[in-house]
Amino acid sequence: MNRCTHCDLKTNHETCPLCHAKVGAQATQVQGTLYPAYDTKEYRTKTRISRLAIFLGVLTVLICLAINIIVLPEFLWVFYVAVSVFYVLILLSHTILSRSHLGGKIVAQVVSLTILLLVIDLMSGSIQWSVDYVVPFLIVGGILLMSIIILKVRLRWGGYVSFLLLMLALGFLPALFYVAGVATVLWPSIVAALFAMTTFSAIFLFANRAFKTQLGRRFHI
Amino acid sequence: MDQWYKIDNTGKIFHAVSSATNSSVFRVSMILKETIEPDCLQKALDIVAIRFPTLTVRVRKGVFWDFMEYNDAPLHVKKESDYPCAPIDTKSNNAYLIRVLYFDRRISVEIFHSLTDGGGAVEFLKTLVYQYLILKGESVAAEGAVLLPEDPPNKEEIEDSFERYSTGRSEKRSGSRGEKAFQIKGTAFNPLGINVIHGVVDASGLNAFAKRHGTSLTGFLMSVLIHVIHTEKMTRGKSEEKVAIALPISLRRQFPSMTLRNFFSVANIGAHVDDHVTFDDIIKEVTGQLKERTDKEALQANINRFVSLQSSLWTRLTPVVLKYPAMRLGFNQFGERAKTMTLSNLGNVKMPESMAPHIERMDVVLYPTRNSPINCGLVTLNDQLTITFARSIEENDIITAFFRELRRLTGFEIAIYSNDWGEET
Repeated sequence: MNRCTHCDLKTNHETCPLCHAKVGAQATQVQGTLYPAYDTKEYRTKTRISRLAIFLGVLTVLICLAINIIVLPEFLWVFYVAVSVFYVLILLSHTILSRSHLGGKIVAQVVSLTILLLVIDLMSGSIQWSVDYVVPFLIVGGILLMSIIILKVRLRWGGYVSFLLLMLALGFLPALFYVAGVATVLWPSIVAALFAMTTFSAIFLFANRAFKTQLGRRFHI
Repeated sequence: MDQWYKIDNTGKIFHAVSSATNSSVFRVSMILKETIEPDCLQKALDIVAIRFPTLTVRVRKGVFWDFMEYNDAPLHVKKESDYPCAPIDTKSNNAYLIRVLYFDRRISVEIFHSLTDGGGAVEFLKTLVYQYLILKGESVAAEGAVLLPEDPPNKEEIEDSFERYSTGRSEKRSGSRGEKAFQIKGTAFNPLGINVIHGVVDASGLNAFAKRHGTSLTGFLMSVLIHVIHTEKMTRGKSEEKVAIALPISLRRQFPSMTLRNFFSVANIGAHVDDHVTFDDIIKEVTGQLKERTDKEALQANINRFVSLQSSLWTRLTPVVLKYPAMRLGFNQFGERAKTMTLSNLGNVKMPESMAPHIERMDVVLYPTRNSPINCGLVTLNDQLTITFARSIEENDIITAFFRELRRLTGFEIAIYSNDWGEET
């Protein structure tokens, strides 16, 4: 073993792990090294890619904001860009590139698309077509897609339960919009809520005992 | 085998607070005398995994609480390539929150803290190494010191002992946040990662030295730590704040339990140090506080507080989406704010005599957090105490000062080695 004269300690390293002073050649250890050599470049690249994506998104919005203010200050179209950038970031980082659960990806898509549509609709004057028609059917589509996947994956459905429950809860969002006076057309909201209730009832009545057991666990207090 | 478990009282907190800078993953390792054979280790793990049903689980999301469920996917041993205590990516780990790693002569078990504490992790590692040595054809026996892989899991091993020992008396924490302790600041590693520095020292010699100074091994090392942190603090001109070391205490000694789940409490041991306070004064203060805070009554109050906090109907009926941010806030305001560093001593690990010749020593790595970027783990095996500092910042002044001071005070030889994370050449 080498000795660091500064720290008065023994070490097998070439440089002292504490003060970094050169203490001699790496001891030809009978024992070998106990840690792997790390490829920090790989770690850095991973961090940089995600930071770069966020930076590019922010830069795009800032450039558009500048152009918007200079060219057409009376109409702030930059919000369309900002919300689209937000959606693209979710799409890339979560839906496409991440290894998140498929159920989570569906929920994230429904939620981020809902936000995108609400903002676009709001920018056009008043929230109307999004809450009246598109959002309710988007949620119905999400529930339907999740149900089909659960039927297809059969044995591995356990991981989808929380996400399905979340989607079913989202099914009542359009009805809430209607009650709050944000939405003006009733029937799509009713369709979404009914679809959520029907899906839940169907699963509860026809699914095997395992699903009910899962429900019990998910709601344990 | 469709078993499920509620997450224990302490474990719930780790679910709420874990993040990229707080992995909540700790590591226990054994360094053997010979290079590890991966195939043999895998076979051993396949046998041992069934014996520890509360560790080989997946975590499912619940509305009011998350929960753990039996996981039938294969749990693979992996050659170590990442830094210690890196966050566990459940996707690439078949949804497990535990990983078994090997590198050269080292077998490491890294566990997300919601599954178990140091005591449970050590039992798992002991059984794993025992089975590994058996499969290697070594003549070893359990000698009552290892949980046998072929035995069925005992009911007591999977219990939440907090519930068993809670006397039901609601003892609430005072509303105030308590005194803020000195917090170590530094430059986070880029890329994020953890540097570990181990110091190996003669355990019985150091223990006897501590006894001569009227304290325990933990008390002595804690006093050295407080002393060097104070010196470091003075260089930053922060003389008012006290230095407080959080000490996790296994409750199994005072409240007999065979549980392999979390069953520990934390005592903050602190001292206001100024230029007139001598090292002996620090030892006296630390030793006194250690006695007071590890007293059975004090620990009982902690158990009751833990249980009453989480068993109130209000807490139970709040959805996790609201509960977790509140728990994070509590953790940062009450837990992290009141300590400078965590020091955990897993004690002198008892191994069968027949296994001792095959194992050199053990170490434990405690994940650092944003507010506690340096943590310290102690464990003794084969009369070798390994002191491990894990840090997420570039600055290592406190660690350097600690080892130099320990050497100067005791005169014992200390062998240092590191994983060199962040030490660019």
